[in-house]
Amino acid sequence: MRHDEGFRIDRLRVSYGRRRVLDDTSGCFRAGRMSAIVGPNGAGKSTLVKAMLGLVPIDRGVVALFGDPVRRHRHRIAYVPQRSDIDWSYPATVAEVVGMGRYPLGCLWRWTNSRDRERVAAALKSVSLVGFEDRAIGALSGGQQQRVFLARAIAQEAAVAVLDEPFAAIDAVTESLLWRVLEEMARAGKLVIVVHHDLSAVRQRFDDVAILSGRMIACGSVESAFTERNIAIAYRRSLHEPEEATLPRVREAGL
Amino acid sequence: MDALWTLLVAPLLDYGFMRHALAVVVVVGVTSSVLSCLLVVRRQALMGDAISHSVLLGVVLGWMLGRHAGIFWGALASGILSGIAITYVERNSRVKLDAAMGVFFTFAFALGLAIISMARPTGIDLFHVLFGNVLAVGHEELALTVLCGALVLGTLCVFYRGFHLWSFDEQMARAAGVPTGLLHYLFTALLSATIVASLQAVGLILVIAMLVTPGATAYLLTNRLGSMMAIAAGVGLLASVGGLYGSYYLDVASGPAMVIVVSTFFVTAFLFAPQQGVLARARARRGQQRASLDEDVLRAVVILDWEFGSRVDARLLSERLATSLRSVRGALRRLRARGLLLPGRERIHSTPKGVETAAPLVRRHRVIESYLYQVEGYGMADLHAAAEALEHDIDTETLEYMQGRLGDAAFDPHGHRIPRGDGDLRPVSAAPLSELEAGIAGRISMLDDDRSDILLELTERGLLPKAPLRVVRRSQDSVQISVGGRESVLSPEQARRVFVTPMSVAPAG
Repeated sequence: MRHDEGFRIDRLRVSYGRRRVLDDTSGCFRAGRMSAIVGPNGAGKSTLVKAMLGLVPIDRGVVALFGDPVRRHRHRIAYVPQRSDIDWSYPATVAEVVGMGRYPLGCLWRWTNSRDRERVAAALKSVSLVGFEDRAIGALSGGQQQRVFLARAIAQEAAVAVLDEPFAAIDAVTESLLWRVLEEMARAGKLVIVVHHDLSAVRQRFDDVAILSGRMIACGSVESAFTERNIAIAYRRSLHEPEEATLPRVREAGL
Repeated sequence: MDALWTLLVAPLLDYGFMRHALAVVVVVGVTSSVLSCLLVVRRQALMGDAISHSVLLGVVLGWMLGRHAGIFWGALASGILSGIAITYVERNSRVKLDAAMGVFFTFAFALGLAIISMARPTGIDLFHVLFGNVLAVGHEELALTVLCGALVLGTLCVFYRGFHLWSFDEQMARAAGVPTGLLHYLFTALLSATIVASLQAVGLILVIAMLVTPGATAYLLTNRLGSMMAIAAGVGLLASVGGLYGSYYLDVASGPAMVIVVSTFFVTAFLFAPQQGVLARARARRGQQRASLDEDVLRAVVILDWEFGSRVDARLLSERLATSLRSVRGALRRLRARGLLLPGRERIHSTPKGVETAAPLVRRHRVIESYLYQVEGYGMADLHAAAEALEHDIDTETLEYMQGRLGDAAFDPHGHRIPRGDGDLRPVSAAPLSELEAGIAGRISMLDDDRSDILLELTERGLLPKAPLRVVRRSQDSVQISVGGRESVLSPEQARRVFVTPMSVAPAG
């Protein structure tokens, strides 16, 4: 197995109780590339990510990271959950949350050292949150909260960054900053995976794409996988109906 | 000093049982309070409830198997096992955590009661197990409690980072390889040990309060987990010592006394906490409403009086801002006191300082309007209301972004000049149409945007900023004009809101 492959998923099946969410899902995500996971609501996008990271049990199939079982590389994974999964009234300051990115490095009972503090300061700088260190996270805007999480992922110095819907309900400033930082990460050779619901950004922003709809419809470079046909299959639209009526979003995406 | 000595220290010197009791309540108060913080932030405050009820079963079985020594181990084992069982049920069925806890702890509690009622073990006083009997603490129990407390606090210190991450973002922690499952069971074990340690002091039922209230109180007072734990520990300490002395002097059972004291702390924080307290919140809300009314009033005065040169009084402002005359007068009073408006009852004038203060507010409003019009495609008539809704909580960053998207637009869609920096607000050389004589021609410089219905009527007739206009005829109650070859008749209400820069040469007509 080649190491530059990053994540490789082979015939993955995931169920919640008796309901099968993902089946027969295979594909790979490469390091140094910006990868998107797209698909309609309920396609299993978040589930795929959680299964890859070992957050939900899988029925069968294999997930490998850099050619090894994922658990070998866990400390190198920075995961940013959906903003709605977090209790933002939790008593924590911006600097504390970004500092949590340093916790998985080394053992859990060591104390914060000067390198941790340096990394936290640098991460805050790269998301333009200098001066916000002592703010309570609950007092931030949605976009600022997303930037705090991005800073936490940066501070973690991980090789893999997985973000679940980071662009949901954020302001335009945060959006452009988020794109810039993620692209920098990918250019630095990191594996960047973004669960995304807006098809129009895929062609412009991503190198690779995985199109999901209960199973993997297509996975690979945007040129080869992000075709009108694959999108139509994922979004259950007939190809023979008039385009205007059935593919408004696809048209938006510039196909 | 002497009185305090007699009150607090004398009982300790006189009675050995008071010394033991004090040591026990201090340990229990601090330990359970620190744990309560984690329970509160994880929204699992009733986990303490569930485990402590289940411990009754362990106490009974432990006594039957090993008498006094057995009670401790039985209680500890049942606490940990019930925590594990509850988690198992939650993870392996669609039953949520609260229901899983409810089912399990009532069952274990009932089983414990059933065994007691059947076997009638002589060494267990049910009342003391449930409600505590701190004055009967012996050497051995004291040592056990101190050991438990030290173990719990020590473990928390060592794994503080783990518990911090686990309680805030468990998924991220798991993804990054933090052993959250282990932490979860460790936490359950700590919780069980604390409950067992507090059996004597407050009993199984009332320890629940010590596992919720100090944390909930501290939650209202701080924004950091670390300081929350410190505050909770202080609250727990004061409550348990206060409760103990209360029970000594007032002859109240010690457990209830502690719970009453700690609840008083909560109520006090709930009412008076500097940021989260009910009173502080109400005050902040009122202050905010006033501040934004003051901003609106100042901006309106500066625009009308300084920029447009028209006459402003309180009634006009109240009408324009759709606010009661009384609130407008209050705002005027506050603005005068701040030196932003000239003193004087009738016609209102702004001071230079007032103009300077208003300029950024005017700029913000006009940038937002221009942005909504040009970038977001809002209709002209909807702009004012939309900008009003946005402007009081938009941050500088977003404003600069909007300005950036607008390029160097100098005028907003209504024809108002957008001030550049602060204080760059000037009177316009334009007069309201209602004051122009027949025959005068000029260009529309701006439209007043306070009434969207009138604005809509005007724009529909082609009255837009920069449009050339000529006054054809005027009478008492109407102005006839010609705009772009179309003639229309405006009411005084409408004419008052159109500002025209007359051209230098007025053609005869």
